[in-house]
Order: sequence, then structure tokens, then C-alpha cells
Amino acid sequence: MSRGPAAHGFDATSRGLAHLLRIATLVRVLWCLPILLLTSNAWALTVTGVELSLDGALLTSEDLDGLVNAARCTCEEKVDATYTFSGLGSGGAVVIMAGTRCIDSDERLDDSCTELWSDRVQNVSSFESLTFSMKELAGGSCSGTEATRSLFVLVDTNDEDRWQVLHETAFSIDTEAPEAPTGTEVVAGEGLAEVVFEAPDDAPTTTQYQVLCDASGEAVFTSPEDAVFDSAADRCEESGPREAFVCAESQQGSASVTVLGLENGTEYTFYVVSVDDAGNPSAIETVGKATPSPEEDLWERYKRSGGIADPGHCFVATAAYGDYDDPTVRWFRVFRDTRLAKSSFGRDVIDTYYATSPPAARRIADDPLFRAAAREVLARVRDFAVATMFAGGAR
Amino acid sequence: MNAWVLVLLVAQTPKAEAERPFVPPTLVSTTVGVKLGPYQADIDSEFGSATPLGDLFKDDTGIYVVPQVRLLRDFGFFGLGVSVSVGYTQQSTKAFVDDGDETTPSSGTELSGGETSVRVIPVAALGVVRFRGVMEWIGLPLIPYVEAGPAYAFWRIGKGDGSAAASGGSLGWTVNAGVALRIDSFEPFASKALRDQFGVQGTELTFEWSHLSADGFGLQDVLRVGDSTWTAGLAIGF
Repeated sequence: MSRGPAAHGFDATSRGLAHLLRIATLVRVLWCLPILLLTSNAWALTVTGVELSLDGALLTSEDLDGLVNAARCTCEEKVDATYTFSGLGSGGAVVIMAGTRCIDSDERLDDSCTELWSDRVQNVSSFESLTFSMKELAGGSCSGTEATRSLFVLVDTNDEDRWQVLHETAFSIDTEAPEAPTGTEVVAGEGLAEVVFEAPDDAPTTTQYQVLCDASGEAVFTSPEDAVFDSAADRCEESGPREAFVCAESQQGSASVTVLGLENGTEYTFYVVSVDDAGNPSAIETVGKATPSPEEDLWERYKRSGGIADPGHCFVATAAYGDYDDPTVRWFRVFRDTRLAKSSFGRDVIDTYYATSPPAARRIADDPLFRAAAREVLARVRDFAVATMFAGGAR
Repeated sequence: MNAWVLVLLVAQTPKAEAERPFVPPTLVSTTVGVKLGPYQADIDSEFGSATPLGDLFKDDTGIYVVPQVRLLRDFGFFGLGVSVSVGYTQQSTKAFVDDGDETTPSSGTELSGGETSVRVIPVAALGVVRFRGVMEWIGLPLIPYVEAGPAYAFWRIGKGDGSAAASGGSLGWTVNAGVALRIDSFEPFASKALRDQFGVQGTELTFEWSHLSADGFGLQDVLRVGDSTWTAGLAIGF
């Protein structure tokens, strides 16, 4: 069945109306597009990433806390910052400032903040590599401040001096030196000195204490203990006590710390310093001078009192080879002194050996068969030890 | 009629078992324990008047800790067993400043900054006799016991820098006599729970006199590091 002329006329009218509606919609969209672009945030300047680094090492958010401390007191140390921007090309001004709150209630810039960088928005690159000094981050002074500050990226889109925060990176600044401990006394021992000090009242438990020492103004150790004493002298090449002067450390409060590795007959001067968790050192407190000298331990007193006990230095190797100066016996002595004695475990092995060897040594010395067996075992032990040391060196 | 009595007896058995004192399922029991007490090595007993250890340590004592494992077979009134113990004690004090005369002890009036220490580790294998029957005889949860056997005491005398001035070992013997207080009887429900859940057959507190003679059985050139002391401890039987 076919449709009539009237039906065809109705269809044509409908199609024409539909076309008109589509055209009208398109015109509306094209008309509104510039307005949408101008008012939409999709094209506004935004900060999509910030990376801070110090001496080439990337700073984590934890590192940022305590980024500025008194040990960096020259304030000349530089932090590299890379900002990643998007939405470039629009108008207005952008500025990076350091401070606690850099926009006042009228959305104007606060004078208390330090301006670090500024530019027109249209001149901003996708990656802006900047350098800030510690002094700038700290607000112009690197001493006696403890606060939380931020790096703000601020934008004034319409050049109306009305600023908005685009991005904020918070960090803490602590350039306040902790209170110094009080040195009580220093008592010399044999190749050592005991340094006694008292921590300040109410000192935080995170505070660490370092014992410094020198002999006639010179550092004592070429490889000091692991030190948290991040001294300005080291960083800023200033004179005065530095990390190399650290002789011992303590994480306790009031304590007695023993400094080992000193020479008898040499006079040493000892100091204590407290270091807070931001790395700020206190003033250095002089404890006193001491000259290590020989001491009489229990064993020496026992022998001087007439004690005749044998401490057990009768080696199995000596018994097996029949000669204290046999090359193999000498090798074991060198192994004992240069390898085993270097570690706590090795010293325990030596002690246990001395404690248990005398009966075995006597048995070996008395029996040729045992002597031969002991020589065989010792040779294998030596070969194994040599192979192990070689493997360790090859790594 | 007899059948009814039998049924009654069977029905009462669980209750009767619960009320009866616990009887270990085996005659052989294993006990682990630890004892604590003061200790000062008897080094000065070698001398007539000199007291090198006493000069330095005065009357100070170290804490003596003795873990012990015991295997015991019950013979009714008494039990026989073997035990192994490894003790540990150490004490430190300030050394004297050396007056330079190596032939006589220093004056001892000036103390050094370094410490000297003495450490003793006695290892003993013991025979054990326990008189369990005494507990039932006197009606109190007390078991007297005696332990004795050979011992070897490792010793080490330390210098201020932590190194050893001397170390060695002294052979000897040890004897312990004491009394064990069965604490299960004070808390029967708790002891039953321990037994059911952890297999703990008995818990006791021990109080004993302990003597270690570590002098090489009288040898002259052996450092005497034994002592007579009192210890208290806790032992758990499985």
C-alpha cells in the first residue's frame, strides 16, 4: 500500500524543522564557547608537581621537616626546586613566596613573607627550575626560630592585586639550639676515658648527646663514630669543633660514656654537646682534661697478689705442631689477632677457645696419633679460612 | 542387683575422676626451670690474706641465673633423675689506677675510669633425688630434693676496654639442696586449665642452697670461681 501526497508533504516539513533546530543549536554553542573558555577553570594556571632537592638528593616530605637548622647557619646552602605547571598562556601574575600565611584577609600579599620568584603567567614554562637559599626559606634569619612555614605559589589572574593560593608546600624550620648538657667529670682509664654528663631538665627524649675530644686542638680519630653532630664548622668551613672531633655518643639523657681508643700518656680535652632531632647543636660544654694511664684490673691484681691460675693460653695448635713458632701456629695467631679479634663474635670465639682448649691441648700433646689428627684438622681449618677471606675480598 | 551397682559406678566415674588428685599419666616427667640468686666468685679463697676480688668488688654480688632441664622417674616415695644446668653471672666494677709496681697490688685508693669484670658460666650435669612422698607424709605441698654432679665453669676476666684480660675454665663439682613448693594445689582450676591446654603437669617454686666448687678438684693452678649461694626459682613440669 502506497502513501498519498499529503503524507509526503508532512515528512518534508518535519525534516526542514529538524535541520533548523540543529543549526540553531550549533550557533548557540559557537556563540557561548569563548565565554565558556574564559570562565572555565580548565584553562587556568595550576601546579601539578613540586620536587625539592638538596645537593642533588631529592627531599621527601619527611626531609622537609627540619630542612632548615642551625647547622646550616651560613644560610647560603641552596635548595633546588622544580615546579610543574599546566594551564599556561592565560593572563595575570604568579609569585612564589615563603612564609606562614602570605595572603591577608583582603587577598593582598602579606609583607611578612619572602618573595622568592615571580613572573607573568604567560611567561611561565611547563617546568620551572628555581633555586632558593636556606636564608630565604627561613625568612631572612637562620637562628633562634622554630616554626612551620610554607612555600606558596600564588596567582593574581586578573591583575587586580587579588591573590589566590595555587599550591602550598609546608616545611618546618628549627634553628633554635637546644640547651647544652652539663659536663660533670672525666676520669681516665687505660686507653680510655669515662665522661660523665647531665642532660638538661626536660630535654626531649629525641635529643642525642655527643662527646667531643681533642688532643692539643687536633682531632683524635680519623674515622669518628657515626655522628649526628651536623656542625656548622663542617658545613660552613668555619673554625671550631666539628664532626671529626666526635669521640663517642649517647642517646640517653644523663649518662656515663666511655671513649675508647685513646693513648696512655696523652692529655685529651673532652666536651659534650646536645643535638636535637632537627640537627641543631647546642653550645659546646667543656667537661675537662684527662690523661689515660695503665690500670690494674682484676686479673692483674690477682696475679700481683700471688695467684697462680693458668688462664689457658695453651693452644691446640702449639700442642699439635710442638712449636709455638711453627709457621702454621703463627698463621693462627695472626688470624686470631687480625680477623677474629676484630669482631665481638670473634672475641667470644677466642674466649671460648681459651676456656676449653687446655684439656684438649694436653691430650693432643701426649698422643702422636692425636697430634697427627689435630694437624690435619687445623690445616683444613686454615685452608677454609683462607678461602673464605679470599671470597670476601673478591666481593 | 549387681548390674545396677555396676551401672551406678560407671555413671559416677567422671565425677570421681574430677575430684581425685591428678596422677601423672607417665612415671617419667620433664621439668624446665630457672633459678636466680646472688653470686660472687670465690677467687679469694686461694689466698691466705690477700683479697684481690674483695678489694675491687667489696661485698657486691652479681645476679646468678641458672636455666635447668630435668628428667625424672618416679618411684613412689622418691624420684631419681638427671639434670643439666647452665648458669650465668657477671659483675663489673671500677679498676684501680696502676701504681706502676708490678710485684705488689696497687694501693687501691684511686679508681680508674675503666671497669674490670668477672663472668662465670658454670655448666653442670646433675643426678637428682626428689622425695615426693614427703609431701603426702607431712600434708604440705613441699618436696625436698638434692642434686649433685660434675661441673665445668667457664670464666672470663675483662678489662676496661671490653677485651679479656684472661679467660679459662675450671673443672669441679656442684651440689644443690632445696625444697620445691607445689603451687598447683593453691589454684586447682588454673592448674587444670594449664594441664589441659598446655600439657603442664605441675608448677613449683624452688628454694635451694647451691654450692659450686670449681677448683679443678684441688689443683693449684686453677682459678677458683665457685660460690655457695641461695637461689629461688620457678619450674614447670611436662
